[in-house]
Amino acid sequence: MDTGKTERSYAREFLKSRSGVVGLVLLVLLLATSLYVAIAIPQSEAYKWDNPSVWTNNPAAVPPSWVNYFGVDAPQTASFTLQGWSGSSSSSGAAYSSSVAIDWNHAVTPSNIVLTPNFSGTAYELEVLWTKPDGNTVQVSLSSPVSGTSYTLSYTPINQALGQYIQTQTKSYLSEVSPAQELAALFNRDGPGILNGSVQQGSYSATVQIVGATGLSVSTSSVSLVGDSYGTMGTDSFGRPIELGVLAGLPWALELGIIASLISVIGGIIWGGLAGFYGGWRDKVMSWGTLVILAVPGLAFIIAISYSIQLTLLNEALIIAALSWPGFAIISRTVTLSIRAQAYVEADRAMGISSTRTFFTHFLPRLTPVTIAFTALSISGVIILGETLSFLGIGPGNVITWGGILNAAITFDASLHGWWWWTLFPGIMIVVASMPFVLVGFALDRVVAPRVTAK
Amino acid sequence: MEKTLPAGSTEAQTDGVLRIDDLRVFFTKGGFLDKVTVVKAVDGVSLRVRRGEILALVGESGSGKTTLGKAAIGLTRPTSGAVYLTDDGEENVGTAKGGQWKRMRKKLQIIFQDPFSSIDPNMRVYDALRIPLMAQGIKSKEEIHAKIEDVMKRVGLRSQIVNNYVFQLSGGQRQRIGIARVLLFDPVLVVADEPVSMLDASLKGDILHIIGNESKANKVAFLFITHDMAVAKVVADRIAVMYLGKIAEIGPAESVILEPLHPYTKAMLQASPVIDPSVKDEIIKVNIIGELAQSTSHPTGCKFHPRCPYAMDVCKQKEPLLQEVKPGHFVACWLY
Amino acid sequence: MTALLEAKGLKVYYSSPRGDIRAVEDVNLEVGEHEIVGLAGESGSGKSTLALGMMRLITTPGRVTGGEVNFEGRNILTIPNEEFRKDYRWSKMAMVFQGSMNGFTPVFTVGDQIDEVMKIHGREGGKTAVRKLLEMVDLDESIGRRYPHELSGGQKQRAFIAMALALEPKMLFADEPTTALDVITQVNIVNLLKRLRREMGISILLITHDLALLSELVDTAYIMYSGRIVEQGPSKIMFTNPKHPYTQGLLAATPTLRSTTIQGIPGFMPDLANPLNMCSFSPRCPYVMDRCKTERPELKRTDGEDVACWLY
Repeated sequence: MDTGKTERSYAREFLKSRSGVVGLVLLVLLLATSLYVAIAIPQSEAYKWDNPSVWTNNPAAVPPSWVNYFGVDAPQTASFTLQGWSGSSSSSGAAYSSSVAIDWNHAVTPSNIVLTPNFSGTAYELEVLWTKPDGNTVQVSLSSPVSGTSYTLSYTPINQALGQYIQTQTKSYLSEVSPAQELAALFNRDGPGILNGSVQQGSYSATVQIVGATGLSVSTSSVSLVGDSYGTMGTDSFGRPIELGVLAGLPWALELGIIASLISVIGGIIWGGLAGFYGGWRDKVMSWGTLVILAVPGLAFIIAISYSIQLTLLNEALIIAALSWPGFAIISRTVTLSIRAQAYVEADRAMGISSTRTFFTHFLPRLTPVTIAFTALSISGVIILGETLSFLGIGPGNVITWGGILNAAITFDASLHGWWWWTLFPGIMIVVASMPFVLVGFALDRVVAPRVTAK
Repeated sequence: MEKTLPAGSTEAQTDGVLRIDDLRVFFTKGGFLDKVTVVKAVDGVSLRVRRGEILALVGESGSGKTTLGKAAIGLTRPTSGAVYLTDDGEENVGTAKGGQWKRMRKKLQIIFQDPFSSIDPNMRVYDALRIPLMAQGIKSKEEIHAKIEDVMKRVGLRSQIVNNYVFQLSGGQRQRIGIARVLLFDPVLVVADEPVSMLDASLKGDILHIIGNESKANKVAFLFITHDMAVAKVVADRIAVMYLGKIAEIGPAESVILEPLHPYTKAMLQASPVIDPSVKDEIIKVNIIGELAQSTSHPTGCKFHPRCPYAMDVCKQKEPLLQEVKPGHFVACWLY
Repeated sequence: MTALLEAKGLKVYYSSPRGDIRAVEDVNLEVGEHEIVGLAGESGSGKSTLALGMMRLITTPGRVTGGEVNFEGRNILTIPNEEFRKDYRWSKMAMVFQGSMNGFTPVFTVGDQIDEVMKIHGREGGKTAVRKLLEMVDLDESIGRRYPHELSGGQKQRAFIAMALALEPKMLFADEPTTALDVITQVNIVNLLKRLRREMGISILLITHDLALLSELVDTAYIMYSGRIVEQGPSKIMFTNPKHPYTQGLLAATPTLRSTTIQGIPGFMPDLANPLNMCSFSPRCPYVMDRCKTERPELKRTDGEDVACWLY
């Protein structure tokens, strides 16, 4: 066991291991990213996750925008501002209008159109005149618009108006109109085959007129052609960007892993170390305790407990720690017993050196490297356990977790719909987050507890 | 079991530092579901150690020599009988507890057999020496430094070595540190448990010289445990031959080696190799029956009789007591 | 007289981060028929490595880097593994080590294990054969029915020797066979080896650090220091008139019943990874001359022995 290693030689040997160094680099990157996330994405942003209304302007369930490089035509969201409102206000009322030109060169329609008027005062009516490249126009009116509201194609009056338009064109009856059909109406050529036609590419224009009471004033409003792709990781069916979820989930995963591991490893090692050190009845009692906890089925226990108490990061970490420490206690006890058999321990006693002092001089330095190695390995296990629990719906509320995202993906049939980005990125993150710990942990383990190779 | 001679009659009363009175140390093996066996490691030993003398305990494995050594300094408790530290008044070593036991550590020390495991290899030499000093209550840096310098010189090592880690030292150097560590206490009696048996021949001499020197110059008494008669001859003032927990013969080293009395001693001396190429084709005759005795066997009468070529009826029935056959030279045998 | 076993120019190196450690450097050693040869040295001298090299038991990070080992005239280092295992190991050359007594499996009786060795090698084996072997090593046949943990150290070691003799080898390697045993058992084993030579004609290579033991047993002795042989010759000559200063130092350092004091040898063995062209013993030699520090002495015939020393 003693090969005469000092801290420095441990470090040197660790650096010789390629996987260990790679792991260490990844670990530093991971921690740096987590720190950045913790600072840059404040809780308020995270809370928005649970509030679907925030994301209405985002395309829902769309792939990452880089798919455009791979030949998929999936335009990103294009936003246009309506400025330069012309019009006037008089004693009888006010009316303003503004126009914006929109160039559309895609073979697919946007996934939605969002109009957000911004004004002060009372408005009676809002009219949109939509001009297609072939010159045909579509007109939609809304009554009593509210400033700041995002009006999308699912807004009933708009939906109905476009439905009317389609019926006029196709000369047939439609009971319901889907957003896809609404978009077809807006982008395809007029005619009876409007719903089956192809998207016209060219210049469109949108003219918005707001009529209201005296004192109405209109400020910058916007028209968004919500795209078919978004960001680096796409969105879920609520329009929430997966990249936000992935980043925001990192600190939580790491915190859970580190806290639970530190407590279970250090606690376990001390418990086992003392049991081995004392011997006698103390050892018997402590070992019995270790085995009892070891026998508890961890996952079932956590699931059961989650029904009785509200889980937070801290208590979930504590519960996981409370179930994981026995393994480390057993190893630590064995190591301690083998140290105790060494003559230098007896020599200490013969010199009247106190047991405590002996523990710190001879036992602790030998247990520390093992502790560090085990902590690293344990973290990866806890991360995966935490995400598994979240996936099962067990975990603290108001926290974004990758498991939680995967849970939502299953609920909303992401695989069935072919929304691969929804499951891929959170899934990869779970691996990416635990990998560095595994690499570092195994490298440390090899340095700290070299196995005897068969001759 | 008859008592051995009453305490005091085996040894002269001159300046003794340790007195062992009819000491017995028994260990029980097994128990609960296994058959209980009793190992009588030490079974009725009385002797005295004088200040500054080197008394060798010679015997094979199972003779009880190591147990006797550890009991002599209080690392093992007696089952019956007593050990007294007589350096300054009289203190019972076997029953000492707590603070008293700890104070005795200053006077009673031990050097271990294996220099590779008796000193923690992962420490700096300086710490390996500093920590025992601090356990004695010496805290001042100057005093610690001075004492360490002193013992390093006494064991013949350069003081710069204290900056090295123990694992960087050779076996011989480590054993010297083991001795240095013990000398820090200014002990009155040191048990040396086979201190050279794990060292190469070229290193033995130096260790034995250090021990010899400490004994003569600094009046440190040594209980020198060994299985090797030749080593005992080289270093000891007196030799005690042990067999199955009892002393078979004890006397001045020269007398025991050149004029052995006990058949067991004679057999051991016959078996000890010397540099003698002329016997290479001869079968060396050793006057003894069989090989090692089991430490769990308890023959009646004289413990040696099953292996003794001269065993008589009385040997099987009664245990012989130590008798002075020559000046200072005692033997426990019915032949005398 | 052709030797039964000879090493010629044998080199065994160990790979290490600092470079090759030259454990055995250019060693010649001979064991004749019916001869008992002793190889003595301290820790780090290379004696065990030399013996392992001659038995083809060197494993990584060690390797044989040069020389040959000839058994009955044939270089056994080049024989393919299978052939060596079947025809040489144990049947022509057997070995006994310091810890050999623990080479028995605890779950079978000693007799069964000896029997198995014979059967594996295609011999008949059987109770009578086992009994004969145990007799040869002075063990009662009832020992064959016992399990290893029921025997004493000496009995186990002798039982192992019996197993080593099972295939009637011509050559027996004994590496510190008695070190862990007490002195009376040791004498019995030594007597046993003498009898085996006399009655079975077996040759023995004894490796030990105990010069006194060696002197009482061997015909020819080799003294090894720092990977090389420094003195070799008939034991009668060497022990009455040792020539190399190291041999003299070792003898003076060996405690025997005839010693009044013993001397140590000051200094350390040189670094085996950094060979220099000088006598490796010179830093510790009481008779060192200038020449010793610049030129390495070769073995030279002097007064019936071979000595590597500039004094001669």
